[in-house]
Amino acid sequence: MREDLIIAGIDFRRRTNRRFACVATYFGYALFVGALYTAYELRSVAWALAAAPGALLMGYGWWVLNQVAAPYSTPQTDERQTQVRNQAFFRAYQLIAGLPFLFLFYLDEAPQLAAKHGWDLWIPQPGEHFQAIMFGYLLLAITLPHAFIAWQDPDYLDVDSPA
Amino acid sequence: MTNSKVNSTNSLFNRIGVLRAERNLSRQELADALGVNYQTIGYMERGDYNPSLELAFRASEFFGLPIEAIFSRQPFRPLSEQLYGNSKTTQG
Repeated sequence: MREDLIIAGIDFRRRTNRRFACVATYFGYALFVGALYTAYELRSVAWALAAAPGALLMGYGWWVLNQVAAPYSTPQTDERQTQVRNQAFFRAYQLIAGLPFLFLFYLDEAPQLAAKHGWDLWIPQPGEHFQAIMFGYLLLAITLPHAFIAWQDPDYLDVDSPA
Repeated sequence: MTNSKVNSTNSLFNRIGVLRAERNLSRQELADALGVNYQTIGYMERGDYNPSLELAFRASEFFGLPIEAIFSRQPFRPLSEQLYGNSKTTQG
C-alpha cells in the first residue's frame, strides 16, 4: 500500500487530490512571483510576506509530485511503469520544447499588435520579468513529467492493495 | 473480475483476477512470480493495462494455461455460465 501518499491527512492516492497538487505547484509559483513583484513595485512588506504562502504551496505541491512519481524514477521499474514514465517524459518534452517558440513569437508580435490596434498588451522586460519567466520555465521542466504522471494515473485505491 | 477491458478501440480481456483468486494468491505474490510491481497486477485486473507479449507468456507459464485461456480479444463468458449454462438447457 502506498501509505506514503497520505500526506498531512490528505490522501494523494486519489487522483482528484493529486490534480490539486499539480495545480498548487504552479499556482503557488505564480502567487510567489506575483507577490514579490507587487512588493517590489509598491515597496510593501505586507506583499513580501504574502509571497510566503505561495512558496509554501509550491514547495508542498512539488514534494507531493516527487512522492507520487518516486516508484517511476527507480531503476527497478516494470514494463507498465517504464511505459507510463516514457509517455510522461515525451509529453513534457513536447510542451517544454514548444513553449520557448510560443514565447519568442509573442515577444515578436506583441509590440506590433499593441502599436497597430492600440491594445494594452503585457510585454515582458529584460531583467526581473525574464528572470521570473526563466525560473518558471525551469520549474516546469523539472516538475512536468511528474505532474503528468500524477495527473493521469487513476485512483490507486482500486489497484493498490498487494493482498 | 472475470472480464477486464482497456478501452473500446484496443480491447484485451483477461482472467487474471479469477485465476489469482482460484489459487488464493495475493497481488504481491503473483507480481513477484511474474516479475512486475503489484500495482501492475491491479491495473491488469481492472483492464487499465495491456501486458506485453513477454508478460503474457510469463503469466501463461505461471498458471499452466494457454495464453488464450487467460487473455482474449473477446469478452470471456463467466465460468459459472460456461460450466452450468449448457447443462441447464440440456436438462430442460
